Amino acid sequence: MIRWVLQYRLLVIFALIGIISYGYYAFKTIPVDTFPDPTPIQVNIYTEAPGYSAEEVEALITKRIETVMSGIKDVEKVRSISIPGLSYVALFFKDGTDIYFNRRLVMEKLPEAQSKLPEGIVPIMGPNTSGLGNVMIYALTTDNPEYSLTDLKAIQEWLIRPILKSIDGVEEIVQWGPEKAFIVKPYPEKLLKYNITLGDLFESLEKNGGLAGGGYTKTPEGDLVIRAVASITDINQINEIPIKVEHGTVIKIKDVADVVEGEIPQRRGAFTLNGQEVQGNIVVKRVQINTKELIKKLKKEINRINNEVLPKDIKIKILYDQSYLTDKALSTIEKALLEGIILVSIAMMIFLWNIRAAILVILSIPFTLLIAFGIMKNLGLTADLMSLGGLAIGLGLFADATVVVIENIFRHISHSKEGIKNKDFKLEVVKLSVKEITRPVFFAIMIIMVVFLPIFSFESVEGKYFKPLALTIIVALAASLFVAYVFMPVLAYFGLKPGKEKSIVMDFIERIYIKLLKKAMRIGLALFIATVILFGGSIYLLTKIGTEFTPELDEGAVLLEIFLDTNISREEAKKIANVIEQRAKTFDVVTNAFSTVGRAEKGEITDVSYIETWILLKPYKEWKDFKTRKEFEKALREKLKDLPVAGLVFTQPIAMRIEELLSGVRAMIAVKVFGDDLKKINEIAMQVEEIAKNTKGSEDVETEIQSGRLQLQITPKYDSLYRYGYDVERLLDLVGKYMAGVEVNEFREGLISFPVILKLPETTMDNIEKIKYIPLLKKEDGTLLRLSDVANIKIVPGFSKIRHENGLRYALVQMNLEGRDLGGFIEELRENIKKEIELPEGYFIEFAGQFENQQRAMERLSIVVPIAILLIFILLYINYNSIRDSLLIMLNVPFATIGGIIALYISGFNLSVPAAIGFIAVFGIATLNGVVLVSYIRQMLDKGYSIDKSINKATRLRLRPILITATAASLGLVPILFMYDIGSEIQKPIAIVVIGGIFSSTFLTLILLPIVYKFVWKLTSKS
Amino acid sequence: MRFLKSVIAFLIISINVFAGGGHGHGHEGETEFELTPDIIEKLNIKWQKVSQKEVHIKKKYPAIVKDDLTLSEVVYSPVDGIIKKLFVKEGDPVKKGQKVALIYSPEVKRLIADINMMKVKVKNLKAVYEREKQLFQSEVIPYGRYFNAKIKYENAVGELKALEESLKAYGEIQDVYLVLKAHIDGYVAHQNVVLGDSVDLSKQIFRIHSHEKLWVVAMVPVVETKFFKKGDVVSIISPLGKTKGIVDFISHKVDPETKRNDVRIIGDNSNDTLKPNMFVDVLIDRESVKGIFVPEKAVVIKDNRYFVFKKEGNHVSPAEVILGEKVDGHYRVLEGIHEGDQIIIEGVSFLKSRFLAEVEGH
Repeated sequence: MIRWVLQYRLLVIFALIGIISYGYYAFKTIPVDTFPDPTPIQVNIYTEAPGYSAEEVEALITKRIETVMSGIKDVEKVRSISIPGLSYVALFFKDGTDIYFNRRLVMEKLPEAQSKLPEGIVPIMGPNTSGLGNVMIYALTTDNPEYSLTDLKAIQEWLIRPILKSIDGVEEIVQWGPEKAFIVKPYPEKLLKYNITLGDLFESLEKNGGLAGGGYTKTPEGDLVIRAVASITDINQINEIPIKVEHGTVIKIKDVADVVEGEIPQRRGAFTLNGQEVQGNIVVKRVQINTKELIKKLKKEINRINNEVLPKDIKIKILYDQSYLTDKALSTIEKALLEGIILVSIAMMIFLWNIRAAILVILSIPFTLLIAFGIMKNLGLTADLMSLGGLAIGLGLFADATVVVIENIFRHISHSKEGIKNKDFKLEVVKLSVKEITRPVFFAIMIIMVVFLPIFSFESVEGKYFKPLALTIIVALAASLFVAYVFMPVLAYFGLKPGKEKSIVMDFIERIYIKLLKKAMRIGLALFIATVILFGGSIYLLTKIGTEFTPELDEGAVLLEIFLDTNISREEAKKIANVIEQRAKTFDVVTNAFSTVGRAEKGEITDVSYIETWILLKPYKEWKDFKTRKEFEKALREKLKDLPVAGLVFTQPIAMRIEELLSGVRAMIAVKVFGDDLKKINEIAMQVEEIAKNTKGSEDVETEIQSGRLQLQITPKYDSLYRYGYDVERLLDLVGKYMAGVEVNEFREGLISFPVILKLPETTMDNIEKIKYIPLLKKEDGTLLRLSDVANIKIVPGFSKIRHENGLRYALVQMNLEGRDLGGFIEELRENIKKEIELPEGYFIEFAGQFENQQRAMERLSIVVPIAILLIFILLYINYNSIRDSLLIMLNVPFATIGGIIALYISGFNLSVPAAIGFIAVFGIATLNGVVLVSYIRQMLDKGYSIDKSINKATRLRLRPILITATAASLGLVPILFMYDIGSEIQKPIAIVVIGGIFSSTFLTLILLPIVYKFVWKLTSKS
Repeated sequence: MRFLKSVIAFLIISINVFAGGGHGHGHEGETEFELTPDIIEKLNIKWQKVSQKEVHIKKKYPAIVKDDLTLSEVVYSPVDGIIKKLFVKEGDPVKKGQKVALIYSPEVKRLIADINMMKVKVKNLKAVYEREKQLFQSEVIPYGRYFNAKIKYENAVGELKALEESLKAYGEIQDVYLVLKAHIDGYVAHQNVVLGDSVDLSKQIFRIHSHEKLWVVAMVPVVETKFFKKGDVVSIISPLGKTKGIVDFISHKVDPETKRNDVRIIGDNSNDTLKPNMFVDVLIDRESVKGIFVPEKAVVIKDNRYFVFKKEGNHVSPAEVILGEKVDGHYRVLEGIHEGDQIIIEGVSFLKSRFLAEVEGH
């Protein structure tokens, strides 16, 4: 191949220009994201059942839907929540299945599910989105007091929503705020006076209004369209609707009821901004849509809406968009890449001591990166923290192949300074030098590529996170080989000139190294024993290091979850939200604070007793009062101390959403208590909470309040009911329709229709005594009955939330962790629970949350890491055909482990999945060093040199390449160590382990490996 | 060894305290909570001092409203005739003495004609009598002739009076029509005729009910009839408002349908709160109780237990209470708080949130 490359060198140059240009184009246009979406493939089914208690929702709706849906192909887990009036069932599908196909399967089953539900109750599929779905939050703001919240909501609903929803990728817009409606409020006294029932009222309202088309008719005036027009377009029109005639007098709506413009009743949520309720909206993106592109489109469209569509005094104010996170994270990683390139370049200059050679080597890095971008784009990878992280981590390795190629060419042409003036001779020299090292270089790079292969066996979250990282490293390594063997020979042919091989720095290092090696040879055994002890010590140290899944990713925002008593009202909850927002705003690091109270019209399974307050923070650079987010959280916590709430939990917007989708809870750790009896599992959960609170490291421990929801229970007095000639249906009708409010007609305003709703007025509904006196009437004989005459009315406690996982009920204790590692905490908690709680038969406890991921990932790693090591061994064996040499090289694995563990311990990081990946990487790199050294020793031995001479020669000659590889690999990672910004959290443990591992393995390769090799060689050759 | 253990235990505890001191729940293990002025203002928290009060405990019985049979009237024509005019219609309220209808009756017409005839006759006989009297005084004619004329005249006057009396007996006459009037305040409950209908003594024209007073028949369990005494004043609560009534009659029979004893109360309906056939409640004062009463809204329910929030200085803490009767939106507190305690009456939901964990009792 090399012959061909050099023959068509001009073509290669053109190809280089072409490929690099494409790479640059790909770099500029590759879709960017913050990090891969780790949420599982899921389909949600929501079923509204107004008036049902949680227990009824569970038994009559949730359970039945679960049963129908659990049989669907590839469904792995079914999770559900039943709250009063709403059922939520989430179906989790196997990874890798097609979400659209899954949705089809669910869609096919929906009619069957519906047929099993009480009449009139319709299950619907939730939006197709994920944990990263809440891409933008905006509010409609106005200074004009004439616009009410309902007006703004109507503008949002009918003007803005259709425009934004038409943007590709917008799955849903979750809207808050009151929806405009016209409310007919009958006064029971007046109804009594005129002997009119609510049913009469309902009927007359329903029948008086609408449209009818009568087709066409041909008349002398022409072809006419026939229309009957009776749409309601004016409040007076409703007022004038007749109900009945009494003694010749027509009784109209206005005689017995007030008709007012208001909001659709039973709103279970509100959106507040800086202490005031506003009309707020959350734009939810479809899965697999690029966030940054979508936000760009959204922003452009919102700008247009602000300027062209909306009335002058109303503006859309963007409160939050996820792209800031992407920008921030990517700029962090890009900075790391750039700084890494510069550091590696400096190192190359020093080691090679030849400006031309150094430039060529340095150029290989951007070339490799650009080619990698081109391939990534074609593979459909996005540029995110993980894939770019892969590039940052492998940065130093990408120059390896080129270094060896260029160095060899340089050495050869420097040897024959005169000869290479002849073009053909120079070509031949280049060709030979490349050929000479093709096999070892190819083999070395292969080793590193192979060690990353086992990562592809990762599943679930860790798979989604780390597969792109492994893939980009492998792609880029392949690209680096391509650069080294295709472009570099040609560029070297044109660019390299003979020069001095020695560099001052290298000479200096070499002198010291040789002295050191001599001394080391003398105390070889002691050194070996010391290393073994060191290795044992580091393994012991490993047990002292905490474990976690991945370090927490900083989002630059705080999400405060506030839990209140389940019987709190919306208005009361709003007050709490307002206090929190106002107090948060007093910190100068806070830019905006806004809250969602309860749920919008669709989407969430929460009620007004749950508030989420988003606290958006200034960039860390501008912070004065606090150093870290944690510090700020602490101060805020202190400031909110006097707030009478049931619980405050600090988290971050995306992290919380992802946790929730993964484990069904909104915290880092969840303890699920499974069992049959709701009361019992809640009791056990309370005990667990107590234990968790007393376990070191726990924070924000909360038992989810599942009971205590008070109900106003209306039960029929059958005897009385039948004595007076009523039936239960009539009673249920009254409760179901008129207490909650029932839509009776439509009010047309231009193109828009608002509902006309019949509802008993608040003045009647806000007092139990008055509710008891709601008149039920009977027209025929004029008998008047009150609700309390035919029904018992009492307040009883019920459940506010019932959770299921795969059909089993569970109660939930959730908590976060502060200042302690996840693995150790869980172990202690598990131990304590086991000691203190005796579970009844059929009851069991499960741990979930991030911990689940960690456990699964660690289990996988315990298989994967040995496989990686085995793969290295197999490759080595294939190459050397010698178990002895292969095993000797494998010594680098423990050598690297020592440094990695010590670095991890000193830095204070936990053993996480990224740290484990760091170990895998460093095993590859470290083995490479061994290969370089041992190969040369073997070559020398083959040439007939004695073992001492061979080792002497090999160590001297191989010092430079080993140092170059090690320095480049670790220097490329150094910038990551000094990053403290959003996005650096996951890369840091990898960098630390790799740098530590390279340090120890390089040192030991250069000093200890020759000693051991000599020892083993003597041992084996004697026999 | 034991010493070492205790040192380690101490260290762990102090680490826990240290770690938990700065953050965490804030209310872990606390049973008190401090109200800051900002919170009081923003969340509109209010409190009041509880004191002993004397309250009448009322017992409630369902009752049905009926017409007071002693206060109804049927309007009919005392004489055969035809309806000439109707002044009211069904449903109209009427006042005592108000005209309700005009009747044309041949009988009345004949009487009037007879009276007119008789009046002429009386006039003529009077003239004869006066002339004969003068002649007799002048001693022109004998006494027998004068006496004869006097008798005839006086007979005619008597006959006229008799005729007028019989006309008057039918009622007020307007022109030639008979005027029918209401004799009680009330409203027209039934109207059985239209214009031109022929009527007689057997035909009801209107039925007028008086609703100033209505019967309220309370259905009282037999054993509880002893609480009712004739002449007691009771309260009546209808969907239209409140009114008073006086116990009138306690039935000696048990209602076969409801197995209750009827107690008849004469209900005052001057403010129009009662309507016949309406279901209402009758409240009687059973006893008066002295005790501590707290507003309903100050009490929170948790797992069938009741709590109020006591305020001492700036500190608030929950107090479990045992509740007695509920009277007029107030609960009597039997146990748990004392006179002079301050309790929160507005914003209890927030405090319930705050103390939930404690209240759940673990």
